[in-house]
Amino acid sequence: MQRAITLLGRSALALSVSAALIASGCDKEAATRAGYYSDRLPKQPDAPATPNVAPADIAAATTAVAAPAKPAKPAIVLPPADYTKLPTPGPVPEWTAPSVKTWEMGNGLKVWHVEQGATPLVSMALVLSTGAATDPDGKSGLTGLMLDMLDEGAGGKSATEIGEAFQRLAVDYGASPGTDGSTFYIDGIADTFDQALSLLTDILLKPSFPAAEFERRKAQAIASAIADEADPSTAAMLTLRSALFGGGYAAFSAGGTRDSLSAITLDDVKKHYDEAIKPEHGVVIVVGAINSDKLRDLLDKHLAGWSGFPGARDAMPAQPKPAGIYLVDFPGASQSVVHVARRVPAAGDQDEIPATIFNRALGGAFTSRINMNLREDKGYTYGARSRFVRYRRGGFYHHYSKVKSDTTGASIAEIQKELEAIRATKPLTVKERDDAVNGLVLGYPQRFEQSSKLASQLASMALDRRPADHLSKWLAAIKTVTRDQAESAGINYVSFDDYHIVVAGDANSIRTQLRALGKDFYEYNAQGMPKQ
Amino acid sequence: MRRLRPQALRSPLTGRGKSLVRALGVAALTLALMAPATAKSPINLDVETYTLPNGLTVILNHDSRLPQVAVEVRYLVGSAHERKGRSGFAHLFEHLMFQGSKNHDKEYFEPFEPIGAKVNGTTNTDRTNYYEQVPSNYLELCLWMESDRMANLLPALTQAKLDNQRDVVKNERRQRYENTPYGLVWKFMHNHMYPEGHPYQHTTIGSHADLTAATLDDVKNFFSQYYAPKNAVLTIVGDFDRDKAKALIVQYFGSLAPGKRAPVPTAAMPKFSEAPQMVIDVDKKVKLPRIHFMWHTPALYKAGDAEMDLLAGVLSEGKTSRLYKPLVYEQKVAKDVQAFQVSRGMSSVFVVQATAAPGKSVDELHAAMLSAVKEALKTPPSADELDRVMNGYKKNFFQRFESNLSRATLLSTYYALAGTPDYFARDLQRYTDLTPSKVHEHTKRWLADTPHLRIDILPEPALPSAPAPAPTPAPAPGQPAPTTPSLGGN
Repeated sequence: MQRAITLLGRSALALSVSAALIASGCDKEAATRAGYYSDRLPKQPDAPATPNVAPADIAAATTAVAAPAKPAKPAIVLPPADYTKLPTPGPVPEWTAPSVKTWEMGNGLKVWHVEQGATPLVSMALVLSTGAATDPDGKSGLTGLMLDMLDEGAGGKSATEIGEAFQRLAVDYGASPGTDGSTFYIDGIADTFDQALSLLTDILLKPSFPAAEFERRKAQAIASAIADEADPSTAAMLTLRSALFGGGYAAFSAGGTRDSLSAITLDDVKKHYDEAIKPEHGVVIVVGAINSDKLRDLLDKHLAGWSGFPGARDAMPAQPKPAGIYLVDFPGASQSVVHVARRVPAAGDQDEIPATIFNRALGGAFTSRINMNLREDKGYTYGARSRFVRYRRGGFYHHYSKVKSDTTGASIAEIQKELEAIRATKPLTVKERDDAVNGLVLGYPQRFEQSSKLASQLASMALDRRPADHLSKWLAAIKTVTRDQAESAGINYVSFDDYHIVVAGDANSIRTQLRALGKDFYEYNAQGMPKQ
Repeated sequence: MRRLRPQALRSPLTGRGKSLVRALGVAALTLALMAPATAKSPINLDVETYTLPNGLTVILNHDSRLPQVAVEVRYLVGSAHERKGRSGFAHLFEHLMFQGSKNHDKEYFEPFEPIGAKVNGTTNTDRTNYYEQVPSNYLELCLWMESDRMANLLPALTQAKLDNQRDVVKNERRQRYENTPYGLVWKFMHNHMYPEGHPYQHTTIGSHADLTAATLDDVKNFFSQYYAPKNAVLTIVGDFDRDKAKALIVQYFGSLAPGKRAPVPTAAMPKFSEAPQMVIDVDKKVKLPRIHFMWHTPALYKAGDAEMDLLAGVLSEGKTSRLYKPLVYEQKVAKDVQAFQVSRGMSSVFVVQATAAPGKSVDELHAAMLSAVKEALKTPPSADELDRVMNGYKKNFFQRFESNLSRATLLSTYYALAGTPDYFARDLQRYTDLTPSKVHEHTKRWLADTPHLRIDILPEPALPSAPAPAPTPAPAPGQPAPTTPSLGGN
């Protein structure tokens, strides 16, 4: 989930979000599904409804399916249910998580492979170490636009020919920029994986960068940035990055803004391609119905001839802007997007795992303190969550929610109360620690259920430069965290005075509430820049 | 992984002879290996269905890939069952099912989060479902909790809970519809696609006024009318012992009072005899105009439904698709275009929507859309167009079956709408059997020769701080002059 934050922004692919949303009906808990509706996930046309048979026929239809010779009496008969206490679970089922097989190719590419699946699906993620953090000053979005250009003509094929070829192979292809790296995705099937890799190799090694396609894709990227300016969630995220990261590393969205995208030329893109698309430090992740021998052969066949070190440099980390309230005005908005956020150390920090446990109690789960307060007690919101977002060279911790406009000030005040309580008057309990650890441990097998999702998790680990066995190490480490360790890790991050507060909402109706918090006040625009 | 035997390539599903179709035929067989396959049923998921004496429908599908089990309880009631003045009630009620029942008068999530469960509920026009995916040794917990709220919700119900969740749901409405760019189009769709009195004429999320009007008595009546074994389907997918699970189901649900199966709302298939009046909404929260065309299409799993799904792909999937290519790729009048079907139990809606590129007026976009749609619907898809779309569709079938939870939902949907949960192979076959002429026949019937509803969501006239708008043609009579931000000279 660490990468969800980049997914929340614009992806290079056109999304059919509305279709997915409407098909999903009204979920109780949308907050946990943020970033779910991405183009590379399978369509879930869940459009169930009442039976189409007339009511009288339903019993008949039901009986008809029930009729097959089943024993009338169950093999086991149990006493009436006991509702005086929750049932005790049976013995813990035995299960071994699939391990990640690794090797390194001659050109420096590392391979992480998980063979699994009762289906023929194969998901691949190629993670290269150049990301949006290398976008030059004033040209945020360059890495994203460069990635987007690679399949617009390559290896003698046109943009349209490449698109159609992937469709014929039953492959969803995509490439997306993260802060610390770029990820190419292939979601397909085992039988066409060879041909899909061949196409990917053309895209990586032989892009032709047609000028007309560049003008078209750039205009579309700008159009998306303009459209996003109407979205308070996007504006709040841009402003949060700007406030927390000043102007350096991680300060800008990988998607860029209308101004930064407008400044990018085709020469910028070609130059950035030459620096960025190199195999050294890269990781190929393959999950699905293919064995290691076959995979090794295919990767060698297609990618062994590719070589080189990436050359683009990350921006330098900058000081955060002053703590205070950063307001983006959306006249007429009936809700405010609220982030209460602060900087934290990078991915792999020694406190990372205990702090995760601490956070699950404070704001990381439905039954955590902040959601129980803002949603289930006060009714200010549809949901509130807290999470750590960590990149390779820095990160942030935020408490976020969308709250009814007239409760904006009160919601922030309640978040402040919860921070103060866990710091002083209502410290983390042993039960909270146990629930958090058990939840993460017992939910662990779910991570291996779907090939494409497992590939995404492994890609996220590769972006953070974690080892291939990080998941199993993480599981082992989680189990050993004590209440004291969780508390002493988390307590460093809950001093309200250290926080930046970002609000996107109707300024006229919320300004007075925000002033009452007694903080310095800054007004920003929807591109995440100080308002002129 | 199992190695595939060569003869597996000659699956009954490989009719079209293309290499990929063959590949996916293999796929079907791979799944089949999980359970005995027969010649007639190449995909056998080993689904068992039966009813308890009190009418509860049970669907079981064993799968031991993970030490996890998914439980779904589906009630055959949705927003289509709501009475006038209570729009949004089925969904508000769904929220109350998480606020505690007689024997567990606490947050429903409480025992589940410490075991790493996925828990949620969803409501749409036709049904409401509740689900949890848990470690397999916690199956009994799911049955305990689901049966207690099915039987004993009311003793734990309070006015305070109703008031709290009413506020939460209103915030959900603000978050997902009012404060999301173009989010209110779904309200306009329901309001204007269906005639007064049609069960789909209002949204599942409902109106603020109707949510405000909901009372505790409404909750009690709704519960006794719709929440009972006869109106419910219990689906369990994953790693469980079959005999033990059946015994537990009897233990927890067997003694519940049957209740009754709710009547299915009925209405004639809506039809526009002439083009309906267009709907225009001027919205502060959008920057670029978006135009939607909407047609009535057949219900999920009915004749024509699969045809319209594939047609949607032919229209807007990929750069050479019939609408993307002219509107986005060549004329660059649209930033994006999408065609999709909102599939529902009574009837569906086919949507084509396009967002104007910056600097393009709503009139330019509309003229281009109209001509592109007309052209696109004129001729049958080529065999290649259809194949490319079908390939992706088939892959998605397998992705839907990877997750225990989505498989459970799919099986109960099959039960509710196709009459049997054992419908996977036939569902897939609906698509593999399609030919260009079949698709075209339904295209003509439902789209080409039929009027559509047009809904425009337009930005407000440019704010003073925005760049000067590009010149736009004079607005059509009765239409507000749309203004799109331009890129300063581009």
